[in-house]
Amino acid sequence: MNQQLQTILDFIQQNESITAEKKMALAKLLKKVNSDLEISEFKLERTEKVKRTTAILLEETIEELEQKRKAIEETNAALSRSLEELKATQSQLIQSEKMASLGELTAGIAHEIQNPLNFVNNFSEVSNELIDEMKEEFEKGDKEEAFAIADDIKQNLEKIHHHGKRADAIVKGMLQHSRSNSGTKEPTDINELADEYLRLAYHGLRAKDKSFNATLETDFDEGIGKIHVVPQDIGRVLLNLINNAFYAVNEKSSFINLSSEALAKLEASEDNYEPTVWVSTKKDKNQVTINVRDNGNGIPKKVVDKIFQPFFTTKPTGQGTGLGLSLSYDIVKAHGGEITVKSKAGEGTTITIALPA
Amino acid sequence: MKAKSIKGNSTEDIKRALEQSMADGFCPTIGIVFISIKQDRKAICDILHHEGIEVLGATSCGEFIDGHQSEGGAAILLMELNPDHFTILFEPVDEERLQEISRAFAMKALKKFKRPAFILCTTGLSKKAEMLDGETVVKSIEEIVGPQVNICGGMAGDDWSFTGTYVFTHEKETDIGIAALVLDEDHILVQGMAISGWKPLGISRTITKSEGKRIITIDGMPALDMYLKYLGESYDDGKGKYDFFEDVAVHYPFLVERDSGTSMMVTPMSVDKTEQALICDVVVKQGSKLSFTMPPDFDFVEQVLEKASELKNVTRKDADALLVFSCAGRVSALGPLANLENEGLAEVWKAPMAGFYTYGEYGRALNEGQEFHSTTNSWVTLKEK
Repeated sequence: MNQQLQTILDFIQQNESITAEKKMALAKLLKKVNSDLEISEFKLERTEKVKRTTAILLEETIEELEQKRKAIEETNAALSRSLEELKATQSQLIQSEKMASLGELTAGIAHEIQNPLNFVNNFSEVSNELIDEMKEEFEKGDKEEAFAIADDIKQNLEKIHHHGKRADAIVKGMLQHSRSNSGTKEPTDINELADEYLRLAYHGLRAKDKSFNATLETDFDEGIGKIHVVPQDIGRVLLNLINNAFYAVNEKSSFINLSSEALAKLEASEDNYEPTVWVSTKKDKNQVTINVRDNGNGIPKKVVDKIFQPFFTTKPTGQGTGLGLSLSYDIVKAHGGEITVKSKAGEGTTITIALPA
Repeated sequence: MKAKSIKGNSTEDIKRALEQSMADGFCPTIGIVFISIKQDRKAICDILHHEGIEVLGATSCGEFIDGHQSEGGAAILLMELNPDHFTILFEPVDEERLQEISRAFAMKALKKFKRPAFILCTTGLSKKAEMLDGETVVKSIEEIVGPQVNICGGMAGDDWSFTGTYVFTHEKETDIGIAALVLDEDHILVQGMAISGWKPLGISRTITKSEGKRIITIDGMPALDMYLKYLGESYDDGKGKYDFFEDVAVHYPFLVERDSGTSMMVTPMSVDKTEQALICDVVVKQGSKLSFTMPPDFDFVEQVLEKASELKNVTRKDADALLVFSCAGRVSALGPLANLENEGLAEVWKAPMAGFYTYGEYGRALNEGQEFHSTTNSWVTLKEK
């Protein structure tokens, strides 16, 4: 017991004027006071101890958290730098993809330009000869014949002009295709665009691989009219889809990447395989759909979900960037449209683009 | 069921107290004995046995009954339990076969009663300074009897001498083993709760290296260095300004996350200076999450009593007897409040109470599963139906 309280208790016990009953009651009260005092002393002591320990623990924890915060900040900065680099690389890759598809077009474009150039050359040569003939008629004084020849020359010049314009349009299209930034939307004849890119892609492939052959089938809905799109962007999408379709039918006709089952089925088939690519358009209510269909090997189920992911490709290393379909997806989405795929193993693939009319 | 608690600082004291308690015709069938290693436990067991009272006992780090707390004495809860409704099981163990022995122990109980409940007393530290793995004992019993099983109890102490702890009956005694008063829950209502009150402090850390009960590194730092650094202390071998266990470790145990997602308190018992490791009271898994803790607030006693009152009000059941198993560390950390807590529980239940300060507790925390604990106050009430 506390010394002072003990003294009081002793005093009470020794005091004869206090009754035994009161002594007991007072002793009980003093014990309670002693107990309360002990508890208060303990609380005080422990509060001091816990306060000191807690302060140190918190101080150390705060210091450690501060270090961790700094480390996280540094990591964040490094991540931001990596993200910037990644974005820059991505832009470069997108541009590379455009240039790569342009490369694929080169042979087709050369073929397409060759035709108007042939016309220009032939008609200018013929016109040259006609001018000589016209001069002769003038010298002979046969003005009537000279005027008739002049009319022929005029017609030739009109044809030269027409084919010159055609070559000009092809070159302009090529330049637009390679531009970094997307162009603006303009009224575009989707059928014409699809037809042009189908032919460009086909001749491009043919120029690279003489043995390549495929039947091209088109079914254009003439009632579509013009719709507002960025022609070079949609052209890029069409080129991509058509090239993929040609790649698929070429694989199948070359017996590449076929499962043994599919190969046996193909070999046992009495019909000869005819590689075919269909491009069709249709106007339906408020939207225009473009279907690019092939009768190639089809896309395996496990791959279908991934084909629109960036950098995903089933082509051998060096033959595909894995960005074609990803960019196509982005372009169609940017037009407020949808791109969907239906594929059956061994039978072929249909990719459908739906654009607002 | 009638029950009385008695206490004494010698065999004679106990003999006298027992006689007094039986003077009114009270005829106990079972005595639960919590006793200092300084007392003659064999002599006390003989006195009880002579009166036809069966004995379950554990050595202590301080013992108490309602209205009295002692160090170096003995406290006994005497109960007039129908002998058909209880049995006493006792089993010495060796650590390697602990799981197997604990399962067999549970099987014996299950053979005796369809719904057995356990007042479990196990040894804590053996004479060879091996700490019994309480977690394995609880989980093995639970596995056999089922998750609904009620287990409450404590690990024997040795007055902080670390010389060896004991559990015993009248005939048997061991420094490494398990003993239990197994109750038939079809006839005896058993309800209780284990509450710690220590709270996590600071950030969550990871035990990056451990072997058995040794924590070697925390967050890659030597465990002892980190522990002392965060508590603002330096290691002193006990010869200098403080004793590692009593002055530091017992106040600042760790909160370690179990595989099941629940947390358990882990107390560093000693240190390994060569490896700068902390040697704990239980096995600690490498990779576990760990937090430092701080002792309970001063209002914690009120919270313990409030929870007990809530349980009493919800179940609308009173008690014939109360047993309290309070961690020995609570005496250092809570001082006189530890006794207030025990007294308060006796007051809430208004039943004869006995208990002791333990090296570990068994019980069920509120709304949680059956676990082995450290730092808790685990109490249980008994009522014959």
